[in-house]
Amino acid sequence: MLGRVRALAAGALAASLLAGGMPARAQQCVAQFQENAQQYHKNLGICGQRHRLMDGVPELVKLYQEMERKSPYEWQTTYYKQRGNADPSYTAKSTPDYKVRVADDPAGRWKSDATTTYFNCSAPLGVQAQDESFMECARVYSCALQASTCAIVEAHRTNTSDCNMVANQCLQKHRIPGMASLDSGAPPAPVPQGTTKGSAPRTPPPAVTSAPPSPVESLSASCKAQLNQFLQAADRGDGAKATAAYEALRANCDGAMRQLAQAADVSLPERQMGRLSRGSFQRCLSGVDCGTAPSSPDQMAAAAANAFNVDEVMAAAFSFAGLAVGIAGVAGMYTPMAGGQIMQSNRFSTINQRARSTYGQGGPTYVAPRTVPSDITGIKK
Amino acid sequence: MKYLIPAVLSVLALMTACTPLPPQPARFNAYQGLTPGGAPPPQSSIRPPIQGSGKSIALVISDSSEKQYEYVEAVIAAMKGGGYMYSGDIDRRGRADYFNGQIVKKFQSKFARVELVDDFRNATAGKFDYIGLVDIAIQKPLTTGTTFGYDIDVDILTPSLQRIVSLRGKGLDNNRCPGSECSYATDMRALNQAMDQFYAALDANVR
Repeated sequence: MLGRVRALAAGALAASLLAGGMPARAQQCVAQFQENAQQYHKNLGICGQRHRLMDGVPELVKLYQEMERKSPYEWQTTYYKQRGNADPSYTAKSTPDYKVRVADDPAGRWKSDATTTYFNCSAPLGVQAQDESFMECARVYSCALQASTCAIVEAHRTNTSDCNMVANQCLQKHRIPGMASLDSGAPPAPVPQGTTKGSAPRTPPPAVTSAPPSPVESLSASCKAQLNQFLQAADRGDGAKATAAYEALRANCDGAMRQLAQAADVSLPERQMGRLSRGSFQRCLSGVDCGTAPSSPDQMAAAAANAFNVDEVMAAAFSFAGLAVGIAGVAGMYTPMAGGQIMQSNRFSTINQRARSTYGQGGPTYVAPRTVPSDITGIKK
Repeated sequence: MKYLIPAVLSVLALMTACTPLPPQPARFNAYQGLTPGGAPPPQSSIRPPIQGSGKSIALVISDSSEKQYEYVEAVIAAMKGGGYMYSGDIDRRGRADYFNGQIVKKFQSKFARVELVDDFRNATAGKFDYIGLVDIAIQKPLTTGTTFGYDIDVDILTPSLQRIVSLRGKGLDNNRCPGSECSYATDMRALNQAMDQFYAALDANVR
């Protein structure tokens, strides 16, 4: 979950860098990128502060102290020393911290020397342990700070009013962990890349001269308008309109959409085969149950036998037969065969008994002798 | 006699309580959802017959076919639950599996490899020599009707989405006798008529 939030944050950072590219003069680009850089720097300090607090939250320290019944002096000399001389007076209200105290990451995401912590912006985002959470937070903003610093320098150097182009160039060169479109494809940058030391932007990176243009820029005016409609519908949570707009985009701007998808490292939603089509054809492709005509007599009998309880079917037939005999005289009704199963069935004979004569007057106090064979004992009369 | 009258009445009531069978939905553009705007692909310069032996083909089933299959399911459900007399194997005989199976078998007899794929993108990734867009239509009789029908339209495309040839099969037959077995026989006649035409078309265009 944390990783996803971080990835979203990275995406938002990248988006805000790109958002700096509104039609403007070069000075406006510079101002926008400077504003971005300041925000990232501030956030970087907050991440560092949170990380430091994990080592010395006063409430936690006090709890340990009470549990182990150690004096405050003992804690000052043992616990805090063991925790890298963390300062117990440092709280959430303290000023942001740009000096992260942590062991070097074996995976190379960060390493420190006496004065500076270096972040590797090429390594993918990932939190392996709880105490890495705020380090990753710091790494994201440190790398974003590098990208925005690059953008400031580039905007100055080129004196362009195309802020998007500058932002894209710098994002290609200065990756932000968690930003998928930049995480894939580009070669990993060597350590060190960034630093948390100091509050001013770091030394500008080399100028970029051959970065590819953004796929968005290459869209035609019509496709841009349709893309905007699509994004607007998605933004409003209107799935139906978004889908319609997407379909229109695929119909009219398919090539550009594929380029956009490639740049954004996402898969374009494609049509999926229907459930019934897939089930039937896949079943047949695997050679199951599709090879012979389902209307052959053997199959029909087998299928019918499987579909019903035969005893129940037969019992129903006997009952129906009794009903049929009861309304004998109606044209087309079946007449049971002499000696057939229906005649031998109890149900039929039970119903038939009602029609049998009785001796004497009144109710059936004495039933006439059976005229059909008994099927109870199996001994036929 | 007093027991029989309600029984007969209940049988009559059952006969008139049948749920109407749904009508066949109209077919629509087989390329809908598969190409931008459902546009049909351009004609290929390749002329049939094409070589199928040793080649692979990806089968894509149209959305229109799926709607037809849904319709068949609805017919079966109505027959089972709507007060109709039905055979125990209607689940098996009523569905299009046999029809689809014959199509698959025919492709398998012509091509070295036949696979099912979701969309053209999966079929155009260089993994197949040809693409077959399969579009099916199935007609079952209405409550008081007698007509059974099968349509199969298959477009054979190149991996770059150019149409080489369209293959067709159409079968239509009317019930001429009462009873479910007569209906099935009619159903199969219509099916076989469509399959025979399709087989002949495929044989003529794929070596």
